[in-house]
Formats: sequence, C-alpha cells, structure tokens
Amino acid sequence: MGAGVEATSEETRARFERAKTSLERAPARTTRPNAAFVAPGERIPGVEHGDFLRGHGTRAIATASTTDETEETLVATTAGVVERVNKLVSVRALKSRYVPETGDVVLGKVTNVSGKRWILDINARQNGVLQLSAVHLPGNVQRRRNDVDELNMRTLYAEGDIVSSEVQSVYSDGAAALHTRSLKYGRLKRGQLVRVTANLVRRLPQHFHRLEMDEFHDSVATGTHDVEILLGCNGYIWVGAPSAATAPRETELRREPNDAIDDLNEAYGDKVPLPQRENISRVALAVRALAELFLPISPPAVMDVFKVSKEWGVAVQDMLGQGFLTRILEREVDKRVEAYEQGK
Amino acid sequence: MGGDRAYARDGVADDCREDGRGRATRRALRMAIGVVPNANGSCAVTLGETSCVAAVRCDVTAIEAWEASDVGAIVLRVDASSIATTRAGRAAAVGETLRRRLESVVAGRERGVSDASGRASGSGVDAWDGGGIDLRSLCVRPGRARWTLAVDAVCACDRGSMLDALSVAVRGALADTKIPKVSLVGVGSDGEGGELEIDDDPDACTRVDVSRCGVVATTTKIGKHGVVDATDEEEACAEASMSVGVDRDGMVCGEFTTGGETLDRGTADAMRKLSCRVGVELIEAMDAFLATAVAANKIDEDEDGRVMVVRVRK
Repeated sequence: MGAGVEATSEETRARFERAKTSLERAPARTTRPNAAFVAPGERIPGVEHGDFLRGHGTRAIATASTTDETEETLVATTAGVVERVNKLVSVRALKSRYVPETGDVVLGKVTNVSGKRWILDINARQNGVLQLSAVHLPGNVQRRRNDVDELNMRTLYAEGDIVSSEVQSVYSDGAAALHTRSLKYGRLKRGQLVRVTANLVRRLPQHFHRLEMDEFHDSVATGTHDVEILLGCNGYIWVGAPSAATAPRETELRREPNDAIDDLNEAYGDKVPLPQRENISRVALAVRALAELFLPISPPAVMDVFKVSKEWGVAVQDMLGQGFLTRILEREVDKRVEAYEQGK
Repeated sequence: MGGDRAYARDGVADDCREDGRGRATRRALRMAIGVVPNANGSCAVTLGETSCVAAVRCDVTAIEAWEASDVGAIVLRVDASSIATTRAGRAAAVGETLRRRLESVVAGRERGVSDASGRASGSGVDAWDGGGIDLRSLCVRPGRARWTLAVDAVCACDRGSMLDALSVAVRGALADTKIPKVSLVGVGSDGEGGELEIDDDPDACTRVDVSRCGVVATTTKIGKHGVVDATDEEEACAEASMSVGVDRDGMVCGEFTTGGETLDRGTADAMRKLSCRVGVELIEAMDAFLATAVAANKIDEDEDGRVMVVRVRK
C-alpha cells in the first residue's frame, strides 16, 4: 500500500463477492433463528388478514382480495429486521442512529459546556445531556452549589473531551440524560475513538474490557502492552492504553471510590510507548474491519481478528484492504459452518 | 485539548498514526474508470474511506464573438452534499471552494508569467494557454465551434483529504474522456453555415492529454510534524494544512493553506516539499494505472447512430 493504486482486479473482487455470498448462505449464528430480514418494499412475512398494528419502518398497503372488502398487508420501508411485540409489527433499520435506553454504557464527545450541564454528542438523534449534579467531583468532595462550581466545569470535562458515561434516564422527547457517578466512568485519555454503526455493538453484561497482549511480547512486566476497549452502546468505541476503567481488582482496592479516572494515567505519564501504540492501532483497525464487514463487534471477535492479522503478518495499515477483509469473511464462514456441525 | 487529540499528536511525533501509517504514507488508493455509462469519461476514486466520482460530458458549443477564438473550455462543478461532508459551512459554499481550488490546479494552471514591466500578465481565458490541459486541443474550428468539457465531481464520503481525492478523480475522468471526431461540412463560400458531423466511432475518438495536468497533495501539520493524506479525525486536530497542486514534474501549480496557524517559512517549505514528493508519487501511481486501464477499457461497439449531425448555431 502507498506504493501504487490498489488492484481492484476482477479476481480479488470476485473472491470477495464469493465470500460474501457464502456468508449469506452459512448457518446463522443468532439467538433468534427465525428473525426475518426485509428490504424496502418487501412484504413482511407472517402478517395476514389485517391482524396487526403498524409500527415504525412499515407501511400498510391494500391488497387485491377475492371479496369486495379490501385487505391490508404490511411492507417494509427500511432495510432491517422484523420485530414483533404482540400485534405490533415494526422493522428495525440495520443502520440507524443510536436509540438511548436507560442503563446503556455510552461514550460521548463534549460539544458544549453550558450552565450546569455538558452537552455530549452520543450519535443519537439528539445530544446527550450530562448534568453537573450527575458527576462526582475528584476526590469525592461534596459539591458546593455556587457560581464558582459552575465556572470550574471545564476543569472536569472540556469541549472535545471524550467521556464514558451511562444513560441515567431518557426524556420524553428521546434525549438521554447521562451520569458518570461511578469509578468506571469519566474522561478518556491515551487512546483513540472508533465510530461504527450503533447496531453492531450488542448490549453485554460488561462493556469495558482489557485485552491481554502478554503472549505477543516478551516484556518483563506483565500487562504493560495491554489494550483496553470500551464498547459504547452508541457505536462509539474507545481503544486505548489501560486506565482505571478496566483496572484489575487489586488496583481498585487501593483507590478511593469515586476517584477521578485520570490519576491512574498520571502514573504512566501521558505518553504511550510505541509497541503499545501499535497494539492499540491494530485493535482499532480490527474493530473497523469488523464494522466494514457488518459483523457484530465483541471483545472475542476483535481479539480474534487481532490475532489472525498478527499470524498472517498483515501490516496495520493494510487491515482495511480487500485482501484481508476477504480472508476474515472466509474465516467467519468456516467458523459458522464448524459451529453448526458441532451443534448437530 | 481532548485526550484523543493529545494521543493523536503524540502518535504523529512517533511516526505511528492512529491507523498504523507513517507520516508520509497515504491511504490505499482505489480507482476505476468508465463507471458512469452515459458520460464521455468518468472515474471513481476511493482514498481510504474518502470517496468521490467525477464524470465528463463533452458538448460542442459555438464560440461567441467576444470569446477567445481558438480555445475550448472546461467547466467544473463540485457537489459536496451535507450528507457526504462534515465540513463546517453551507454545502454549496464548501463545494464552491473545492471547485475553485480544483479548477486552478487540474483544469487550468495559471502560471504567474510576468512581462518586462513586472506586471502579471494574462487574465481570463488566454491565461489558460499554459494550463494543465491544452485548451487549444479542444477547439473544433477557430471562431466557430469548440468543445466544452463539463466536469461534474461528486463527493460521496468525506473522511479527510477530500480535495486530494477529487483532484485524482477529475484527472482520471479527463484521461478517460473520449472526444468524438468532429468534422465541419457544407460550409458556404462566405465561411458561414455548415453542419458538424460527430463521429462516435471509438477508434476515431481522441483523448485529452492529461500529462501536464496536476493533482493536489495535502500536508497537514499536527504538532511539530506534517502528515500526508490526513483522515477527518486528524484534520480535526490539525493546526494548519497546506494543499499543493503539483504536476508530473513536481512543479507547483497551486497552493492553498487552511487552518488558524501562521506558517513560518521553514515549515511552509518543508510542507511544500513533502506535498510535492507525495504528489509526484501519486501521479506516477495513477498514470501506471491509467496506462493499463485506458487500454483495457472496452467501448461498446454500438453501430447504430454512430454519426450524429449537429447544426452549428451561428
């Protein structure tokens, strides 16, 4: 790469298309085997005789019937998955903005600091709101509700900062109220943000992970090359050097609860050593490669792509090339077939 | 400054950018020509995730009395929809800025030729003489008819270095352009009247010579270093950036700086030098691709209606 125009020869393209087709035909690795995909204009299966309530992403059309009375059926208006709640039928789009739900872990970028609150871009239809009353001050000091307190807001989170938080509640108009009242949440440093479609990140019991890299390095101190990955439900994914967000238990014990998230970083200084930086880039590119192929993003999946890219000797900057993506697709097909064979 | 920006800046200093590239490495460039079937020439370009398409449409137009009599014209239009780009400002204004910059680099290089009195000479159409495209080759009949190449460029997705990708697309589309053979018949003895015969025979078509046409290479200053082909994230934490239009010989044919920081002369020189080097590499890579792609590009052999007759308006 970098040297010439990347060959988009018929051969590579054909191989990529072939891998995509075989993935479509591979046994699905889903918990809902009868989930139906629909394209815009396609009739939604299993909806008959007007026995439905029309939800988002659908449109009712009259169909020709044998009798005089017209019958209605539903067609999809977006490409997505059919969802049913009793009689309500809706189509959830494959690519959409994030829809906040209470308790979701989200990452946001501070766009504005206004009186008593921060405004965060969280990839939703509306900006997220982080109230000054919804954060813990460093050192767990009690907040004094005065003007000085509001004036000092920027020392906590300033414009452009990336903040991990949780959705506290959702307003009636769909906007999210966030909070960072936990040791895990706060300003993120020493890492990079990867933006993907929100639907690729599933809601998991644990969204903050530390990927261990010891097997790839023969360093004296273990864990010095580790990479942490914070999966925001809104499709913002943080890949960086380990911080308090993913600190092991013993470190946590030494710390005062509700300390600022930064002071573990301070111990390292703000610098990131080069080998670790390369790991971070590789993990970030693994996330982007998965997103490019529209495969779900989970820590094991990311780690798997990371490992094979190292095994195959693929340079970090070539990880979005069609050659590597094709091999990842083919591997995914093999894995699904294997899982299916074992399940039988 | 956000934690990610400080990290990005340190990475640039360590020659290890967020996507694993070095400072002077550009992203993967993919090109395809002939992608728009009803255009005379077209080119789709993706540079990393940045992508755009350019298409050229050739038309014979009459040369009016007040216009230069022996040159054709290139009309450029850039569509930067707000869906594709996150740049601040109205989409139309963004597109216009990109268009102006592209026009000066790709279509017509206005060389700063100064005459004896030191005044810069040449303005208007005549100054296109020394341009990247020889506009005289686009003249059908002096004083009567000329070719007007309408170049439409559309930004599909702006993930940084849009201008660079657009310049490659426009140059590629021009290289792909097949100008039909035209002959003027039935001209009266007084030099008036007559009809144009446009021969659509693919073998009779001529190509636009793009060998002197430039591309844009942008160097972005982050911290103390310049990086080429910045992503949109990198552009967000840049202090300044310099886009240099450069031709095959490494000659500068346009230069634009953006960003709040004033560049001192040493920095500007270093950035220009880096841009020129990368630009020449880009053109070499591009020309290697075009040489094979243009030769392999099949033109559909439609026998019907190959010769088209157009009455000259005059």
